[in-house]
Amino acid sequence: MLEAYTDVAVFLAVGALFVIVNLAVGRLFRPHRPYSEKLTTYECGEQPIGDARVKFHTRYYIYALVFVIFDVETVYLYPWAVVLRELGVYAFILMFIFLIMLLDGLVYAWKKGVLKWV
Amino acid sequence: MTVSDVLFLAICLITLVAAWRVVVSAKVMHAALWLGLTFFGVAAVFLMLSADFVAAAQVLVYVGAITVLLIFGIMLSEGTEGTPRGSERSSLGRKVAPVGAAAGFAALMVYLYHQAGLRQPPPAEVATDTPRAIGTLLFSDFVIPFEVASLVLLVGMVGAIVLAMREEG
Repeated sequence: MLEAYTDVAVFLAVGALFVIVNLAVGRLFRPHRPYSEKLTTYECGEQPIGDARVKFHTRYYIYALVFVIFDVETVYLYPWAVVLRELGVYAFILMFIFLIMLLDGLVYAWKKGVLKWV
Repeated sequence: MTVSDVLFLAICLITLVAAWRVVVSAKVMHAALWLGLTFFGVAAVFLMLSADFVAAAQVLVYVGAITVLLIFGIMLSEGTEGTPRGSERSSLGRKVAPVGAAAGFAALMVYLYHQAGLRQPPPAEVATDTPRAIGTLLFSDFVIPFEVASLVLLVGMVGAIVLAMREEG
């Protein structure tokens, strides 16, 4: 059963190696002459002011929460997609009801102005 | 030792080291990223137990959403980067509590393994293609719970919006 995931393992390994090898090769060949201006944080040519860590507005948390809800919805879509071909219209309608229920939540969020950019 | 034994031990090692780094990381943002790796390791353990669907759900929900939620939470909180984590740790209780918790958890695991009837021979036939099995059950025996789950998610979303908007004032 695990053999089926060999592809995933190869992908993970190649992805990790891509980062490691490229950074290592870069370190081998690039010149290394740091000075304080070079090491400052790049802020489009401006002088960086204060710390990179700033406190974000609380309302952005709602984006994360809505994302979690729709992520859980995606988990339900996975087994549905596997069996859809066998069960046909029946499963399609059931998932449609499921999605409409959650769409209500999105419409509610929209109406409440949660999705507005501030 | 077979290949899968070696694989299992490697995955366990990665997961445990990542979990340890969550606790000892000086920066809370690093701790959150290590937690993501821990979740990923747990997903790999699920995969080794032939629980494909649980592994997929683990990656989607925990690695994907819960880690993002935590990172958002850190970004929304007051920056505490100036004071390293754990610098305020001095009292005896703070030192004893983690050891006690770890010992208690270990004792519980040993008890469960030996006493609670969990020590059974592994099933002869290991389930394969669990997403298909779950999908079939979801649309036959568990249709009502499935649809109720959407209601629960809706209530959760509306509740979160109401709470967040109230805080806004």
